[in-house]
Amino acid sequence: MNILAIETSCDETSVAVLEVKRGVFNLRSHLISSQEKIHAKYGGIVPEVAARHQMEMILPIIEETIKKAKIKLKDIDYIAVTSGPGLITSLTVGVETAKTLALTLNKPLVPINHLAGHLLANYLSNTSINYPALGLIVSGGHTMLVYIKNEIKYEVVGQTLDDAAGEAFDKVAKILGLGYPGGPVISKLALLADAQAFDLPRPMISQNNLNFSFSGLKTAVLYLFKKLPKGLSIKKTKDLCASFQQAVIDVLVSKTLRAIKSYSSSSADKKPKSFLLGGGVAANSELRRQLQEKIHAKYPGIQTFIPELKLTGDNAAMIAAAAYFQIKHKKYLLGNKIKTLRADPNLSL
Amino acid sequence: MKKYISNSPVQTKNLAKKIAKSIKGGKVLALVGELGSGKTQFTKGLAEYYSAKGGSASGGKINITSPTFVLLKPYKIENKKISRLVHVDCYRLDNAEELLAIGLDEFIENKNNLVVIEWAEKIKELLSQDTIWIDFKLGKTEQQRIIQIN
Repeated sequence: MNILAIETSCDETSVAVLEVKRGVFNLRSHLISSQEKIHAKYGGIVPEVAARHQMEMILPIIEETIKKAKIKLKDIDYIAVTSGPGLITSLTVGVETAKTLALTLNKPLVPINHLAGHLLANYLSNTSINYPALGLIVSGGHTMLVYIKNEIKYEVVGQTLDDAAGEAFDKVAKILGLGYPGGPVISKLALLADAQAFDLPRPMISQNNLNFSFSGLKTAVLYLFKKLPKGLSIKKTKDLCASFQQAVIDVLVSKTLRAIKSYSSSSADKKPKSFLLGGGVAANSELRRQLQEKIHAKYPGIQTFIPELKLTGDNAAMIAAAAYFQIKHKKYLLGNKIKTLRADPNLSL
Repeated sequence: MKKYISNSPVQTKNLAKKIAKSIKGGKVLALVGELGSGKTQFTKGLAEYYSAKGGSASGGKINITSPTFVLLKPYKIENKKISRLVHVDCYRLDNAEELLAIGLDEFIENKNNLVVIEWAEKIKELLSQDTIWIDFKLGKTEQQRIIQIN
């Protein structure tokens, strides 16, 4: 089967064609507008308004993706689209385009939750994931722990009470004058720096729940930075980045282990067998390394899945992967029902 | 113009609750202040006030999370005066156009909404004369904030 997936939940415009044959995934083509040189080809405009940008990009990207997949539009069996959560105008571009395609091609439409997509991105590198599983989604807009019963059943068991982890990276980078986005630059500067150089708080780390808070950590960095002499040396800046990054990682790792522990002590059929990481912050190499290491040390029976780097950010390939499982469970819209789909900016898992 | 000194996030929330008592729907609260100055805490205080007074439509406590990434988050409230708390964040914005695109003006025009805008100075030209401007400044200690209502 061939799935055409569209993702426009925030800034990116992404389209993918995924072929699934007897459970084997073959990503035939995959484009993400912010990474491709397609801009230049189609006018080179990158307006500040994300949705307007997406409106201009969506059709050329669909065309290009299908061409690269070496298939015809009529070979598409299902249309999948992110229906939420995200920015309403951005989501609407993808949803309305997908609806139009599904109606005109007379194909089923598969609405996908963006967050489920982040977790199921792991299927693009490994299709043997055992359930139940625990998932951690860390991105610019979300930080949550999810108990995953199977590929389509999720329960949010903990989340941030204020800022998302990725947002903390962006805001700390802004405080330190390092530019946007903050994640990549902070993790690069933190390489080989001293993560113990500055003493920063680990918000909520000892609280007996699965929630997060990163707002206070950002404020702590702000105060620390103000106290330090102006014109901070490169070494000190690097150490501060490393110390901040480690504070975030410590909280994420500790809450993840707490979640595994609380479900491991329940009945045998509820015990998590796998751990899935997903979201833009999953690109952080230290987070990837430490999560893997610490989960393995404490729970060697749990297999850890971490998505390929290029599939950590928003992308349509993960939406296609998630769609495959919805299709397997016959969860899609047909005929006139397709018209009823609405983008939902607050869609929960 | 009124000036308050808050010595903790809890005090900032309490100030918001006090102000919430006298606010009607259709109002815009414009919050101005640097990162970590208490704008989100203040908004959390407003939400706590409305949760206690009638509760959210879902029956549970409203948990206000940062809207930085999605720019705007509406929360349903069951309250005589206000039926929706709209939390807006202009931090990521370069101009006001993006907020108009996601319908900020419609949210503001609705008399049942209370619209709270962080980093509101970035979209000054969109806001009417009767907007309530609230300034947040860092105080002398790490916990202290000076909050001024204009």
